Amino acid sequence: MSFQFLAPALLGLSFLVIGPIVAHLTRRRPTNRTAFGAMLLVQRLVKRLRRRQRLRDPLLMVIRMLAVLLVVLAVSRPRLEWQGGVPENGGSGTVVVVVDGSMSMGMMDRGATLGSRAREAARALVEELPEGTRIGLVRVGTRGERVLPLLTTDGRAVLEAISSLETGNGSTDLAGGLHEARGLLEGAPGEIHVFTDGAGPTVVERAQGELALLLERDIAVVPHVLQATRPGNLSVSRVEYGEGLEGGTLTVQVMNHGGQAMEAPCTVGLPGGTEITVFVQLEANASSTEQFTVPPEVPGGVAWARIEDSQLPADNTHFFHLPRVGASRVLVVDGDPGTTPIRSEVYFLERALAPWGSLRGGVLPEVISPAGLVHLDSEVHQVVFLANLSDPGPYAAGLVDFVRAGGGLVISGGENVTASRYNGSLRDLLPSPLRKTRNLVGLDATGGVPLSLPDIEIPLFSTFSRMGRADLAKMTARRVLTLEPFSESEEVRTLARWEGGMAALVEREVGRGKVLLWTSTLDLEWGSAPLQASFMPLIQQVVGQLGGESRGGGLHPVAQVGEWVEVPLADVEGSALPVLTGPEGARSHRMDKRGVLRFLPEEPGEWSVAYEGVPPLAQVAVNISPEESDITPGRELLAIQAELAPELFARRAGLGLPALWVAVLLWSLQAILGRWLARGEG
Amino acid sequence: MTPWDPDLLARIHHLHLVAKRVVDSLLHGAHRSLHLGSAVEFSDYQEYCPGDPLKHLDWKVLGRSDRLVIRRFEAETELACNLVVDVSGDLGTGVSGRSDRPALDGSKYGHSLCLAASLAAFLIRRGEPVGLHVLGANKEIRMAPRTGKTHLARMMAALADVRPEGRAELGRCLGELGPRMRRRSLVVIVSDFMEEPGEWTEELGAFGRRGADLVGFHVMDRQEMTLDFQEPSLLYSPEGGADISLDPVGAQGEFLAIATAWREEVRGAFVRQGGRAYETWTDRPLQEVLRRMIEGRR
Repeated sequence: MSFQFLAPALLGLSFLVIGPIVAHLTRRRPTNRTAFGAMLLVQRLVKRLRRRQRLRDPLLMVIRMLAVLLVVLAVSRPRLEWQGGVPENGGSGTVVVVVDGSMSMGMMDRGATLGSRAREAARALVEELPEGTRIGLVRVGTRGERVLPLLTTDGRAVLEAISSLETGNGSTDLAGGLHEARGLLEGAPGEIHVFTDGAGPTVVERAQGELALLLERDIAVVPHVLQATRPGNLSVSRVEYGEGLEGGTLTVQVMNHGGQAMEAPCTVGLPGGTEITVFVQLEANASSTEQFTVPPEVPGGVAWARIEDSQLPADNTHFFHLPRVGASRVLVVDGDPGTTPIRSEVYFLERALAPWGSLRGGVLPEVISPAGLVHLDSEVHQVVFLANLSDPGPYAAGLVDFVRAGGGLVISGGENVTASRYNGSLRDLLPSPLRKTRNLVGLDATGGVPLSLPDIEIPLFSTFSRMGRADLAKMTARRVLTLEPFSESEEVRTLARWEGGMAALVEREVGRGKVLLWTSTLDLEWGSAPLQASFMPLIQQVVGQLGGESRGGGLHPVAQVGEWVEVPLADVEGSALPVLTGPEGARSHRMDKRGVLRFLPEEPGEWSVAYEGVPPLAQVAVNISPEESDITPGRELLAIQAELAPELFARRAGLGLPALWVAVLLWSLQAILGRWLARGEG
Repeated sequence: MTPWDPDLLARIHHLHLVAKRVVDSLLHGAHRSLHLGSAVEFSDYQEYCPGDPLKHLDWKVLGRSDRLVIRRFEAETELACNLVVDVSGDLGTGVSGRSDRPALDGSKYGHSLCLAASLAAFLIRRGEPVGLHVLGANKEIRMAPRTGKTHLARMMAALADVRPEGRAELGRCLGELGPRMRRRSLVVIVSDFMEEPGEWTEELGAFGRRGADLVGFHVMDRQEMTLDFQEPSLLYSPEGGADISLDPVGAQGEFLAIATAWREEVRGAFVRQGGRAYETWTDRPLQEVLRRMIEGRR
């Protein structure tokens, strides 16, 4: 809005405003001096009137000054200019209807959604168009798309197409919608009618470039804004998992986008099925942060946080990844129960895995006999220690599946370990086939060959960067398993060696899991490792590296509705295709030549990619775009258009005559007021 | 004052004429005097009782009839009247306008003088002693109560010679006069009382405490009391003070309310001190107010 004068020179007459001031200061005093005998009474009268006089004089002066100023203003021909409404350009004969189908249009208002009201309004507009008008239809969601491929004069078809439109869960790509509309118009003049709620702080702003292009082509964008009587929306905007009591703390941020304070139940659903509910008090247009204590043990996976909101329910639930919480379940397969503790790997492993008991530690060891391996479950167990197991053959298949699914396997040496049995059954897991056992020193010798200082760049040894690294080197071995020669690669690598170059710890990646081979024993039979201070942290690190999270090393991406999700599947083998499962069942997807799976989630929730019968390769937490939840109206379409092409929208009004009338009114007012308030004073 | 000032002589003559006309009017049809008389007269006898003063014993009756009787007497009924006349500057205003010596007819000044002269003539005619005290006029006139035509003539001459000047200073003057008044006298104050009542009402009490019969004549000009002007004027008081600019249009109603309240204040001041106040307007005959005053006394 701007203000200007057509005759600014006449503003010089403003000096006339001093007239009332001068008149006020030198106001007329009666000249006839009269002797009066009742001055006592006049003094009393004046005293009574003085208060009124104090109010009257400045008031009258101000009114008179205003009146004079207004007269000066009137003769200076003031003009007000502002941006007005839609320019009239009808008659182009071409209309494109753009209907917003984003998530925010699902807001309930007076028993119907904004989307349904938008469709009704669009239908009403189409029905009123003159016969022969060429009509196009575009739907705006996460991206703009033509509902009808070309402009048509078939109004009935357009009406049917409008009726078939649905409100989705996507965001509002208004710019894309306008782009499609421009494409339909093919550069010719026309009208684009946009039916939208205008929600989202930057939705309209982002369409600015497209609006400029439309205006250049004399295409008017006519907004039809639909808004709820009392717009409101609750949504979970953020969830973070952090340290805290018991299994940690979930910090949930809930946002109230409406103008009314609300109280609503907020529930967190954990992968194991646990649900925790609290009531959240939300001020208007404000966020609130709630904290939930996670139980000590929770399996990892996709969890959710939900706020109850009946007005716009689509974005009530926010999905997120929760890492496994609580103890890693470790199976220790006792292949050779010793007669004394120092001859038992289990004895040392139990103490190294759970030095303070299983409840307070991060690891829950479970000692089983080899037969117990039939119950091995990759959903439950994270790491398996094969301690001097003589014949893994009967359990080899289960172990291979376990590792491929993401489990960790630790194989240690011992008198029961024979190359022929292991190489036969566990060839898919061993870093390299075993050759034989070899004495580094005599078994009766007191010392042994120490461990070389390991490379602390390897994550397994990263915690031994100071004195601990030297402690590691105190581990000695008298006898070791030897391996067939192998070449170091990304898949197979030697993590630690005994002095002299013999391999001490070798790692192999299999599927999404890992196998570690410790060439000595985990008791004192072949070496002194269990006696060293670094033994316990090393075992804890091994478990952490192998089974830090459940479901192995599957991918855990997050995505938004309407955005392409890409899942690289490096180990795709054969012709079998992974299955994509969304919240509402199996969905179609694309695989490219590089083995990247692509899909377009349309609903929020947990989406998983998996081969039949095996744990998922990827779990994707899909949410509604946070911007779509923010129903705060952004800038108005008209305002942006007016900025881009002000001459099209400018409205002007001369203020001279109104100013003159107001001046006359003020002058009359001061006369009446002066008369009424004076009542006697000179 | 020169004894042969024709204007003064005319005014004295005018005062005499007015007084005579008024007194004649007041006495017309009257059958009772204002007071019982001025002598100490025998009334009747009373049987002597032990303890009665022996000086009142009638020795002649004792000698003639051997009876002990006490002579009883009528009380003193002669009532001296003190006229206190305000001739301050404000008295010079009114319908006749301001002048050095306003006419005796129609002005507050003339009305006050005629009223004082008439009352004096009336009382002297009835044999009462009358004194005169003039307030304001920038001169001090104090005449003790006396009877006789000569005294009346002197009072008339004094009244005819005063000009409305200065301030009455009612409070101070009444405060001085009060203690000097004879007990049980009639005190008549003729004034416009145009001074803050708080300054002089307490002083009226001195008259009441001395048993005086207190009468006030409140002299008012109708034009002044109704603010009957058309043009805005710069009003001033001849007694001094700041000028006040006033447009009477519209202020009249408020002024009348103030004036009515003030008149009530003056009347109340006299009533509280046991006296009476009579309002007298310059456009009304003197006989009216004087008759009311005399009948009020009876």
